[in-house]
Amino acid sequence: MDDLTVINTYLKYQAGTCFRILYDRYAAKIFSKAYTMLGDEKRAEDATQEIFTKIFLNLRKFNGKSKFSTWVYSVTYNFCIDLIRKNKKKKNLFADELENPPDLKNEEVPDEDLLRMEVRKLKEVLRRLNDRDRSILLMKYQDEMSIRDIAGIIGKKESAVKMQLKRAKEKAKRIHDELPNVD
Amino acid sequence: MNSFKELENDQIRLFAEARHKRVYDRVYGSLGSLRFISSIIEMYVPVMADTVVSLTGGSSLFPQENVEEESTDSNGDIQRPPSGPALPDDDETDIPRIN
Repeated sequence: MDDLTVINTYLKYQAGTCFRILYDRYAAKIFSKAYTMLGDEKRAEDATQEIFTKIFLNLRKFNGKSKFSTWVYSVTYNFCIDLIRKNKKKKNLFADELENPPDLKNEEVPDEDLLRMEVRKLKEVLRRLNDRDRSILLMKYQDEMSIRDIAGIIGKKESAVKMQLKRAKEKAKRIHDELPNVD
Repeated sequence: MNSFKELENDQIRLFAEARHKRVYDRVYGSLGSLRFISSIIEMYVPVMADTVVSLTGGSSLFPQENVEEESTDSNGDIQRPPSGPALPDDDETDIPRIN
């Protein structure tokens, strides 16, 4: 049964089975994203609960124009980014940019360089990136979203998304290259 | 498989072990509570609003139907339709008393 059918059935009958189906399909993925974004298991677990509750309370707002997964992930990323920003209210929003300036070289980092990173190193790279770069890389390479969908989620033009993605890749590559090789 | 997907799978496994049921119970519980509260609000808020409107002299949002005006007979007593079987007087009853 596709997501839209499950959602419509849930909205019509408030059926617990439909809730269970959607929970089983998405809860673990929400947790995974929250964990990568927040960097802490306990916080990710609490965030998963809040995100899922939020999704179900706003289920009527899902208009079916995009895929349900895209909508779920956009709620997830926005929730995590809001949470991170609340926790560092006093910190300059551009501090990350100053600490990790983008490489001004023109050549683009090939996707393969990121996709073939060791998982342990990738985890560390993502941890060191700022929340905007981390989320855009996850949307692109983990959720395999189109540039258009990403632009819709973060509320920017496609050209701006491409530029941010390019910079995020450069930063990720630079951080990766600086990591020590430990076997 | 790309490393981003591998990372996601590692974290999904982490969730599946213990957290899956715990988070499910918490989400289902909080949704149930919210649904209960919203149904209470849905039930009572219109009635409360109607009461306030009535108290301030407005007309009720829920007009009462089938309320007949009371009429009085020639003695001035209020005439009401019988509301049930008449109760027998003590003297008329056939039920033996137990003393």
